[in-house]
Amino acid sequence: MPKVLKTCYIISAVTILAISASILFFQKEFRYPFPAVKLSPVSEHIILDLTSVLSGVRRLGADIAWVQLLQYYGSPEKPVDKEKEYELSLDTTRHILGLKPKEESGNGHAENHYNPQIAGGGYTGFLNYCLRIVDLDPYFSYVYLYGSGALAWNLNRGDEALVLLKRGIESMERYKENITSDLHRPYWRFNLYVSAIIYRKRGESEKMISLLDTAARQPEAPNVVKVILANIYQNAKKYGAALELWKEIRQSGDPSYFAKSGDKIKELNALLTQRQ
Amino acid sequence: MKKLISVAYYTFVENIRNKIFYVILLFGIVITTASLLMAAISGQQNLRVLLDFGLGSIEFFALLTVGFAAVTLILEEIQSKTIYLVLTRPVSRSTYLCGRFIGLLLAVFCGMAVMAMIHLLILFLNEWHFTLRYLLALGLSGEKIMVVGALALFFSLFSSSAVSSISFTVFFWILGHFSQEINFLANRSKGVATKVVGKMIYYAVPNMQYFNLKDFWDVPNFLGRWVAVSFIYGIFYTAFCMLLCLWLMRYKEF
Amino acid sequence: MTVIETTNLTKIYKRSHLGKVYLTTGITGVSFSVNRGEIFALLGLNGSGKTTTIKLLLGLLKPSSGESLILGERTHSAKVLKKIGFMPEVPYFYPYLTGSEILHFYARMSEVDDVGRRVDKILDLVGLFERRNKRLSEFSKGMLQRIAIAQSLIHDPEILIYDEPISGLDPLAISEMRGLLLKLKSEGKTIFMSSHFISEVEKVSDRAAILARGSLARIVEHGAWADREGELERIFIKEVEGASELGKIKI
Repeated sequence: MPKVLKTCYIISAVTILAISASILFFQKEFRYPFPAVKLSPVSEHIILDLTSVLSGVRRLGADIAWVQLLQYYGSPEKPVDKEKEYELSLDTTRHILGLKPKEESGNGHAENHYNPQIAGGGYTGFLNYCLRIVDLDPYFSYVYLYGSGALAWNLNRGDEALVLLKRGIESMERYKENITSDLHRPYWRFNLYVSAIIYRKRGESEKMISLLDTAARQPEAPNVVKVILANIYQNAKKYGAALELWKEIRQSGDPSYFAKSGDKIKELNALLTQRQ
Repeated sequence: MKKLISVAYYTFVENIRNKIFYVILLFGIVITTASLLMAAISGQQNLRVLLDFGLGSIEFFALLTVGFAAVTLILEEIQSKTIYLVLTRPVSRSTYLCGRFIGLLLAVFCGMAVMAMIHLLILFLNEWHFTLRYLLALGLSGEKIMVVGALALFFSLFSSSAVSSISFTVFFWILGHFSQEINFLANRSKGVATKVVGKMIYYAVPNMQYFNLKDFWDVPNFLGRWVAVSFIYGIFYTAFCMLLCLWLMRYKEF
Repeated sequence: MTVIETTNLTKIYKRSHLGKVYLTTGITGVSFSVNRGEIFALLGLNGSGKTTTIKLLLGLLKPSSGESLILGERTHSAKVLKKIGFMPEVPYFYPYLTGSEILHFYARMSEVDDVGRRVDKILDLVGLFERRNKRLSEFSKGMLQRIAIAQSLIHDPEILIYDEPISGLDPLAISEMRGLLLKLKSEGKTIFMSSHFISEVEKVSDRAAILARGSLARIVEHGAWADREGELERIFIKEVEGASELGKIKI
């Protein structure tokens, strides 16, 4: 057998052995972290989600799904007049271009949450949008917190919020034996939110507020939870605590709440001044 | 060795000067920068979106470049007959093939590096904190590109048609990302034939998820020894594909 | 001394389409030898097997049967290829490299010592030194032909194999090529070339082989056409008459 051919056969054998050894190693050490792919709960995005999975960009697919959730939740469910729609879209454009949104009106995303004529019981697809994101990336922990906060306190659907949080806890369950600081935060925070929602359902508002306060102080706490807590504090006439929260929200630069936070800071400052 | 380096160097120069390379690179940079728009409408998740879009577009455009370039690497040389003036010299076909492949990879990795630098600049300007995981994720993306390039080269030599080679390459790309699901279905399947086919696909097709660290960014405690083994797996899989290419090249007539 | 030798060289092309195999004969039973220092021409109509023969000599094709030897060795060994300079009928180069870069590349492939000096010398020889940093995509046809000659000579080979070296050249370039071939012969190089231009073959060749329908019809010595203008053409037409697949032009 020619020497070159012999060398090729030897190298082929070595590569096949190395590949086989690697595969055996992976079977022991590599645990694919994502669940088996399932049909997207939001039917109009099935193709997009499947494409994300097939292309190995589940996280990116989850990011797109997240933006679509914000767009869904940020669009008024009930028809608004053309001028209002124009104002809402202009706010977003101003933020993208680095210009501050107008202070007076057009509160954008936030408007739809706080106007009882628009929100409160609407956005029936909200849970499915959240589940779609976490089906793609179960470790997108922010979605569980944001989604459950919005469902429980804005949309008054505590049971749906619990479904979402339960999914998050199940995702983290497989790692609870290896608790480290990385793991601890999301796992612990989900349980915190579950407790707050259960207290709310039972009418134990003091305990609920205490837990929400803890949740709002966590790094990367969603602004939606801070807003909820700030409104609770304002209703309980704790203007100082509410003002601190609205300042944090404004500092984050989140376009959804930027204009609203400006209004609220002015309002709370006025209330504090009046009290004095 | 000198000949290998020469072939690699001139292939690198040739690819770097190719207008199509610049067009693809430009698109990659544009998309990475356009991710700023997406990030602006992502609420508090702007950094995550910037990170994912950037890493995703770097990989996607590297895939486009390596896929098309690897498929035409030898095919175009055969069709244009530039290969005659190389193979009629004292250069073995293996040296020539490996040199061409290495030169192509170097060019693609350069493109990835340029896009990564722009991406990092955008991230730093948005107050992102650098982590070694970024370099690992980028490195594993590079491994993925290397494996795909070797597959594309193999298909081009096997089928001698650019269209079918690109189709097969894309098909293996998808299959590679889906192999975990295929293994899951094979395990659950009751039919023996389905089980066997599923397992064959799972073991034979390169599992692209081993190189997909960018998708596992937030998975707790996920970094481990498997990352190092992924690099080894990628290198040996590429080597195996190149051996198949050399075997095909040995019997090729021009 | 025999430099190139073929014995019953045969090439049958196989093409399969939808399960059916089609066989096409390239060349069959071709035997000839080329002596050191001579210019040996291969003549034939289009499709007679000239390029096939050259590719078999260079190892670009594998023979179906028979064999070819160059300097007593099988033609695709590295030792032999180092001593061969090849110029194809239509030269194709990497478009994004410059004239200097492509010659540097080929010189390194051919294990040339002192590459830089050798490249400059060859560029000067072919009259392209001033344009050495221009990209090959910007070269004219004539310039590409000169680069083709340059790359065939960069490693100072003993044997030159040229496929249609004057095809597509203008009269001045043809005259220059003729001069170059005779000069190379005077330096002791052996030249094996295929051509359609019988008048030019008459001027430079020592011997000529005529291919017709893939077979060797005749080998003609220089003496058969020396001092008789047009004699080689008459011999050629006589050998290949009826071999063309095309019908005659009715005059």
